[in-house]
Amino acid sequence: MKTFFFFFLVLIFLIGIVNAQEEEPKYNFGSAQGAKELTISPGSEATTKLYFYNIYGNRITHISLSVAEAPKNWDITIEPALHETTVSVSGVPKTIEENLFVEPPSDVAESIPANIPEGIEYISSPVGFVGAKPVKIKIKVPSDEKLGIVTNIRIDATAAWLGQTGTAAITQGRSFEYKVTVLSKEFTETILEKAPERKDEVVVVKEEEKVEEEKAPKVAEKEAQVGVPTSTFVGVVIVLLIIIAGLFIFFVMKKK
Amino acid sequence: MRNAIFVALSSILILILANFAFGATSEETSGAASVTVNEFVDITLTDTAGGGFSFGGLDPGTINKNESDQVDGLASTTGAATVTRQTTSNVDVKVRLKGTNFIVGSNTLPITYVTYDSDGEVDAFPDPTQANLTTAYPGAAYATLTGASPDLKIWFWLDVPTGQAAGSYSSTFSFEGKST
Repeated sequence: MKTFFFFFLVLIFLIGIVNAQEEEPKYNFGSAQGAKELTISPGSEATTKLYFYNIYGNRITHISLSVAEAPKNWDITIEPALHETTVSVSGVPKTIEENLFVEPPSDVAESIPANIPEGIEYISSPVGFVGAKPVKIKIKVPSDEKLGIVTNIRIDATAAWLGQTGTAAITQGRSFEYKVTVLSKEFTETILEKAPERKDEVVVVKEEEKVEEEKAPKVAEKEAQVGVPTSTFVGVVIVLLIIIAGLFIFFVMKKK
Repeated sequence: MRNAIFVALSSILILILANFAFGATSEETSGAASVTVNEFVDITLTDTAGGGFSFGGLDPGTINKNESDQVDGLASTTGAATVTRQTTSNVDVKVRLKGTNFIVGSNTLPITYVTYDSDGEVDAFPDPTQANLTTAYPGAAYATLTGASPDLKIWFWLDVPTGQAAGSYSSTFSFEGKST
């Protein structure tokens, strides 16, 4: 009986191995991109992150990233940088270039676990918290960059899988685009010109009227300087009314 | 007693007036608020029978040779690969395809000799509906995968021009999944 039970277990184990080997390769490439619009001041650096995960695959996803579009004098760096990794594919060592790899299956949890493995960050996704690998994109703007310009930056990612023996290997591609606005660190607001409609009007006025018109804005400025908001005025009136009411009550009480 | 009621009512009146006074002096302010929701794109390529794409040994002049693992025919549901937009995605995903030229040594078989379709029907040569693979992604998306329609099956065929040099050529087929 024991022998039969042992052989039965071995049989189940072997069937499991065969099924695992026969499973169709699933090449999964999951990514998450945060902010697509960035604001950076000249001479400063901004860091944004991309996240990669592999929930549904059954092969390791090898990801390489490159800067596909950026202004020439801007400094864009990707961390981790492109580097060589040696992998054993079915017992044969192979060296590939990649920024990172993501092993399946990436963890999906209802809440962020207490113990998070090194190099993993949990991000909230439509299916729960996903344990993903982050990649930092650092964008440095030259100090002499013109204020107000808006430029596009594109990072191209290629996901590849090893062990393919066919005529044509399969890869996945994805691009991540950013719109970067160059703005000053400190907020300033200066009106450079007035509304244009007055410029087009040609009105002939007498000298006296012209003098009055020129003076008019100055009066307005003075009014603006001493002007009190309506709400404050109403408040003051009500407080005065309270004082008067208080005095009235005081005198009525005193008489009685 | 009357005095007490009078004082109490007066106090209430003063409190009400004071409340109005403070209310009148308060100002309404507003500020800009923004939020960024991460964009998730998650695509799985299921390679039928595995190993990448193969077309077997072919003679020059072959037309519409199917990828080895797919089953041709309009009723077929077995393509060379299935592209799936996973439920992790929170955007619709545009799918585009490209490939590198087949190369062996100094010989090249242009990738445009590969055609693809979302059904297994083999069209008459020259192909009217099957799209040709190109070395760059085409401008328009081949298909858009949504939550309601997350799968795309793909069939491939290869033509070998007459006079093509012998050799074991290799290429790479790329699938791009990008938010719309």
